[in-house]
Amino acid sequence: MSTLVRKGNLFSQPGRDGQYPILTVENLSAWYGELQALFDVGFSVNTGEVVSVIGANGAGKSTLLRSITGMMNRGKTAKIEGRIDCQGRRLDKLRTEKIVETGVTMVPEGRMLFQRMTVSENLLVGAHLPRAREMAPEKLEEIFAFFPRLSERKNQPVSQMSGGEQQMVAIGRALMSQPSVILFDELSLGLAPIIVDDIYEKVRQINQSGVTCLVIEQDMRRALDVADYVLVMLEGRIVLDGRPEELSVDAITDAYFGTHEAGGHA
Amino acid sequence: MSDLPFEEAVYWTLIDLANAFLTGTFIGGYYAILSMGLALSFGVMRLVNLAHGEFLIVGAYLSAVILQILPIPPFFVLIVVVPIMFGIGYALQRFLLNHVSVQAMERRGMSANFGLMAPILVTFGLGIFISHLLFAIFATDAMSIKNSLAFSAIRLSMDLSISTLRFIFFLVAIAMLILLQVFLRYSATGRAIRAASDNPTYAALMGIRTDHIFAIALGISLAISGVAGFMIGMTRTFQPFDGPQFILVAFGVVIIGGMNSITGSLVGGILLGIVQVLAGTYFGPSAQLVGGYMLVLAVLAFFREGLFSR
Amino acid sequence: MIGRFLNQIAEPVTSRWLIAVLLVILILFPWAMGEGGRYYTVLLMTVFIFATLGHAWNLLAGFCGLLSFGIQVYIGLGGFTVAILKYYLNVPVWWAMILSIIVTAAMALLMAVPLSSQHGRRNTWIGVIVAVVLWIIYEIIIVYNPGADLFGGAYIRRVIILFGIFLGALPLLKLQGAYFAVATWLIAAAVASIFNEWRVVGAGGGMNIANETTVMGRYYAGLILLVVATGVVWWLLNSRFGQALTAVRDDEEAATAIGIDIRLIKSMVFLISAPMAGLAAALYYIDAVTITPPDAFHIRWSAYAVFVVVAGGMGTLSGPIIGAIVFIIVQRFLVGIWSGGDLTLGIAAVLLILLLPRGIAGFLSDLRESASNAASKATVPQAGLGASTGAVVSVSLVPSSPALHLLPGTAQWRNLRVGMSSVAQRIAAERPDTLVILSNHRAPPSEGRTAAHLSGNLRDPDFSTFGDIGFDIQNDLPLAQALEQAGLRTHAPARAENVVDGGAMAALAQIDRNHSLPVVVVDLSGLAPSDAHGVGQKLKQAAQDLGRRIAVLGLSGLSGSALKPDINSDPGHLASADDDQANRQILGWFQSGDDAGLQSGLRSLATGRGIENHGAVLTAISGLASGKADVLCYGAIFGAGAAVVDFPAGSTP
Repeated sequence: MSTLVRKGNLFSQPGRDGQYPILTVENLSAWYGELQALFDVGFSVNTGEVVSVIGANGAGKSTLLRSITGMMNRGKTAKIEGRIDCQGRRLDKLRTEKIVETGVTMVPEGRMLFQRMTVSENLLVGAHLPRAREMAPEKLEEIFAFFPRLSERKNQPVSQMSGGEQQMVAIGRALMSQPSVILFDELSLGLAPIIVDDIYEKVRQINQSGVTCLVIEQDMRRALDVADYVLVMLEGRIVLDGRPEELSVDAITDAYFGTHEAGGHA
Repeated sequence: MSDLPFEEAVYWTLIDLANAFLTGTFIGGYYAILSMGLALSFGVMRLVNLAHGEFLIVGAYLSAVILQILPIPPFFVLIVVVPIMFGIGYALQRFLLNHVSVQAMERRGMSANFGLMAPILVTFGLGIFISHLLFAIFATDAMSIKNSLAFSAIRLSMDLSISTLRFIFFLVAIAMLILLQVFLRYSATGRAIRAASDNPTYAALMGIRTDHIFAIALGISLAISGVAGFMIGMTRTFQPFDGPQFILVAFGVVIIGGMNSITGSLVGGILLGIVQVLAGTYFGPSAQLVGGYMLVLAVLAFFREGLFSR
Repeated sequence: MIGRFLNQIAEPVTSRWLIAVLLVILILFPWAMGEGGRYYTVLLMTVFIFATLGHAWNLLAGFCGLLSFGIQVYIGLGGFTVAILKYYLNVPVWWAMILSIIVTAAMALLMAVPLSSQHGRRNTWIGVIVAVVLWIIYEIIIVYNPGADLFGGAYIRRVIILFGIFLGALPLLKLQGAYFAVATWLIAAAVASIFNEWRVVGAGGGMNIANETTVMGRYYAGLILLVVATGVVWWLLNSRFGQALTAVRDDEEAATAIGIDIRLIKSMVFLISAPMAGLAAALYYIDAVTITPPDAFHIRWSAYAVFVVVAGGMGTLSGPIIGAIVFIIVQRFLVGIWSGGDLTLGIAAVLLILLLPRGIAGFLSDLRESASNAASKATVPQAGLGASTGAVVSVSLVPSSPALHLLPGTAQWRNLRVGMSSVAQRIAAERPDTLVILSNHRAPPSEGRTAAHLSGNLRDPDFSTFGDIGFDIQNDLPLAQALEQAGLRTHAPARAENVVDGGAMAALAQIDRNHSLPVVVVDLSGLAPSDAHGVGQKLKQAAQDLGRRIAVLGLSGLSGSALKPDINSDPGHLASADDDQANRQILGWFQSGDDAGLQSGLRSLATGRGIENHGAVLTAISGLASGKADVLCYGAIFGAGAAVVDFPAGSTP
């Protein structure tokens, strides 16, 4: 099992596979009060990749995303230590709204749409950033072309839509900010398998259009299918990582459940 | 009354009623402006602004003082008052109220229950502070804005007329209502305000600076209060400690309409206006206040969150 | 060490000797000070009055979450009762003061009354009609006998009676947060404007309370008042009633879920707090001699009460006392330095919330905690009411597919449905307090507050064409909280639209048809087998800690078809013979009570059969059972294996 801790400024030296990473996380630890949720996590995401993070409940996947998007450094109870860089900017000290300006955005777990607004309004709120606001009308048309279902319902309140449609709005809303990195949190949550297939097809297309994706998924099969690179988390640590084709199902299952002594991690 | 011939008695009864409804409706416009800011700050930030009445009085003093210095037509003073009030509101939310919001209190480990109370208590203290500050500056001398419109009326028939000022206020109320709705619905900032009021955490994920957005919302709320304060000054005299009596009217209106409904404040204002005038017509001036309070209590008895609450 | 000392001041009940010493000092104080110290004696009496007022407000806000801005209604009523009794009937003021309890309590009763009725709105109407009829009769009597008019005027009489009827109809205690606050304020304002017009009470000019009391007498009356008020609050907090009160303060919805009658608790506190404020006011005006409606019904009184409580510490016993001292210092001493006593009060209130949101008492107890450094972990609050010995009283396994519920007519599943109803009967026979559902369905993230009560319709995405699953659940939030603290993930969303576990809702609809049982849904998805096996122990522990009798319902299929394409095949068809064999092996382990066998065997069976999705629930259930299980039926649902199994829930640990 390979280890993955790197030091130093990542723009000065190539990362994994000799490429320059767009997002790097180094020595990241996170706490909720007394409870430590992440232990010294480090990895990098290369430009244009899809990286999947898999792990059981409470493995720290969502905490990882919350840390990257600045939702962990608000207040006394939740805090992080370590370093997060994206395109030459340090994210770990920034507030969420500033992080989004650097080009990182998230499709949150449970979708978290603005319930009192229509589909169009939700999407337009996604283009709140100055850089996105100018292009908003064109981008909106793009999103409607990408998700034809949404263009039929653009003036409906999102609260009246099905889970799958809501997920489309959530993805569209993230795309509206013209991000370079999108973090997807548990896309398949509460959705029928057929719809999840559709959604993951869209993720693939988004990735092909040049957006780097970090996908958090509990459904191991889908996570492996979509990924260029896989990280397996257990109890707040990355216990296994590699290209999906390099990793055996057994190794992943072991890492996932912690049934095998994962030697890779110090 | 009994001396009058029957037809005339009927005529006067009808005129009384028509007057009550007419006057009540147009007072409703004035009441709506008094309370719109309160409904906005509650709808967006869940803020029960107990200093609202004092801010109305601040708006009134500001208008009166500026008009004493600058000899301009009264309505032009709003060009100055509205931005100043917006600034006060912005600063207040940004530098004080954002730090005692429900979320801020939860971040400090306080219970949700206390988190709801903290802003109420702070604005309560603020209200006391403002009224005493005004007292320190102006003492209790009653002030008003002198204007030629105060006693003019629009005559509809021989026995029916409405105050010109009230009529203007009613039009202003409707214009402000429409403007506010258009702003909230179609502008990027308006959408950001609605998004932030729905879910501040995920609004931040859209790049929305919620601190700034909430500050704008309270700025708008106070700007509206500035207009309302100006109107108070145009129609009557005011003193530093008049805040509570206006906040009671404003609360009455928003409770009838539903605390977070801006449109509700116009309907609530009109209802309250009509009931007050009716009570005053038939039971004497002292019944006006009590009649208004009873209307609010009656609405609460059957609609626990007002008529138009979302 | 300092912290410990401070704590003794902050929480006087913990140290009886300190209270005793303090009381002796306070009793001897006027004598010790003599004539020269009269000013300080009066000042201390004012502290007593405001501390009592603080207690009254704290009872509502700090313990019930009822933020009242209408406490001045009791101030005015308390004061005017004494004035009226003294002036018209020449009742000695101390007796008048005691009689004022009746008036203020009656006022509180009038405001709280619609709350105590079960069928609120209908009874309200009946009450209104009866009141109106009585009123008309009264008016008729007055026409024949004007002496019967106790109000001294037709207008004021009608306004008062009409207002009384409105108050009686208003379900004040049902109003939430801001609505309650403003409604109390409006009521006080309305009463004020009535008093302003009422000739009997001086019509705005007010009344004098000419009295023969001495400073000493008033001082001791204040001291007795404060001691009694403090005692009442202390008793409230430490009685059985107090436990319920704490539960209501901490989480109203959760309190409802465990069967506390919130309406009763709130009415009681409301009724107790009113005379407290009224008595404080009566003493205040006996001392002040003059009472006028604008002064007595002024919103300022609420401001004072708020300041006293917030400065001292909301929701603490000592808070109002500390707060009253601070209040008097700020209000009286700063006036000398700077004319704006109330101005300072406003600033002080803002600063206090910014800097010491928990008040001085809270600040002191924080100091104590950091000083003693004994951070004993917070224990789960006891339910307090009707707590029986807690245990897991029943364990069963039912299929997780919503199909059983949505397609009730399917002939192939008849045995499964019979099995389900048999399990439902067995659970009902055990009379559990709570139903715990172990689910393998991934729960959505919590959005902060969970709702105690959720109802609505759920459209399970996999079964959307078959219709909606209706649900109406009471979440047992204290138990959920305890399980969360034990490291389990529970599923209790804040809003009905975020209920996504179709299997759990469908099973609930079948097992608990009349929605009578509180529920906790535990999400075991993705749990490692070793962790899943420990779930049983955590459930037992939580059941014991909270005194809950819990019925555990494992929700799981056997071999799965969820991820296989042939989901629409014949309802009673099983995917393969190999699956059948695996299912029977699992059921065999259950039947023989072979927990170890299941644990070791399940992993090898799991791969490729879809059982991996169910492993956690199966392991947890097996770990919870004590002995041989009873397999009630076994079948298939759309290619997946399904069984209903009843496990012995013995007391062996």
